[in-house]
Amino acid sequence: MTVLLEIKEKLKNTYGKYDIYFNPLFKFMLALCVFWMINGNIGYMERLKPVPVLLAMALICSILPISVMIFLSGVVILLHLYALALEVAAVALVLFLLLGLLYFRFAPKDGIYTVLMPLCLHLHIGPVMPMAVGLLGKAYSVVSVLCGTVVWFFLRSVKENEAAFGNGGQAGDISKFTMALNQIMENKEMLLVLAAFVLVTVAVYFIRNLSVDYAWTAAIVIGALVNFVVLFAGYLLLGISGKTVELVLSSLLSLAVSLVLEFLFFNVDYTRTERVQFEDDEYYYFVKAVPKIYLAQKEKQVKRFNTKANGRAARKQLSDDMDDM
Amino acid sequence: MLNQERVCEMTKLAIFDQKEGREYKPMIQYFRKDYVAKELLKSFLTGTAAFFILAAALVLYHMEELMDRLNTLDIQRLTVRGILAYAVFLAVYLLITYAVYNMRYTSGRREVKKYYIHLKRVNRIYHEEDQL
Repeated sequence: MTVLLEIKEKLKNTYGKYDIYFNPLFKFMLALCVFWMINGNIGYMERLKPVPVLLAMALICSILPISVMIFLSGVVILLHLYALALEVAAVALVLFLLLGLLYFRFAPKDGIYTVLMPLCLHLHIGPVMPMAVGLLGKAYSVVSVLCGTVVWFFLRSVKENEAAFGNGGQAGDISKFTMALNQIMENKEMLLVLAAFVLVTVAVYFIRNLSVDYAWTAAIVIGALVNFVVLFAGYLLLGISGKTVELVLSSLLSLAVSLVLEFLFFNVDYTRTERVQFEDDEYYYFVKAVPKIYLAQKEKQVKRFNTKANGRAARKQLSDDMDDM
Repeated sequence: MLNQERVCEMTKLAIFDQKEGREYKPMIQYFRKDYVAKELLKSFLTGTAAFFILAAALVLYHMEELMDRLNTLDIQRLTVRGILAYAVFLAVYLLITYAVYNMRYTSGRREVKKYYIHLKRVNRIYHEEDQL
């Protein structure tokens, strides 16, 4: 544990020192992952797929605010869907416009959750995001997580039905439009996952705010359990089979990632909790103060034996040091 | 010589200007009523746009059904229902806007007050330096 704490302190210090370089680097990596994932799954427009185009887009995102990444990912998705079928692109545009007009007008900073959510779902660690929002953010930010979930399920359905939407598909324009809208409106699995994520966020948010010891750990464990139970029961009710192993693995993975998040962002020592009580004219105060675990970095003392210096002086210095020890 | 206390205060002011400053600028420029009214107007426009996009998508979604029943449709009743739906949608959206921006104004004013405290301190330090 001490070693981990030392590493954490070192990471924090290094990040604090070089954040001007780290921030663009992280944004670059995130943008690269996002565009890679989009191209890998719904890469219907060949012109957007070459690596130099990908790198150029990621580079642009690395130096501009995160909202540019969101906008650019939206544009890339629309272009790919346009290459598949105009009607699908139109439905995606309607979806993006509604998300932008109704939610991101209020909370433009939450856009990052919407970008990260499909990425997590793709990596089978979907519940990490609602848990992270419950732990680190505000409860209403769950809406941005839901927006990301809707986008991911829509794109996954489009990918699964690409043959029907493509040029080979027999459906007419209106039918394609209806079919594309059906991917959102009649996707019961999506509704189930949305309900599970809302419950997870609410549970985690309320439990981590409780004034009990190990509130964060309890919140994470209960959040993972809520996710598992709601989804498992939902899959049984909806008759969706073959998801149990994936559900167990994703719940365990999410639990592990959330515990890492707890270690990074909330590391306190409950054994040294202070409880004090005092009063003033109006109130009684019952204060519980939990100290953060802080580990001072070991200072390494390096003794230099300067060979260039006068031999006599160096020997004298050495003998002085030996006397001090 | 540099006055360390003044540099600290000025750094805090600069950080505020760079980060939260832009977000809280309207709280300095506008009264609460004007600020909320401005946001309500914006919400009216975005809400109206969102409603019509949604309505158009729904009409297209049910297009085949509508075409089949085109001759038996009660247009007047449908219009009234559409207007009612628009009114309810907009009322809810504007209510949320009102609540959110009222809270934001309150918290923003609190932050701006802190900014003024730092500003006053810098002023005081400048006065003291002038007198020396």
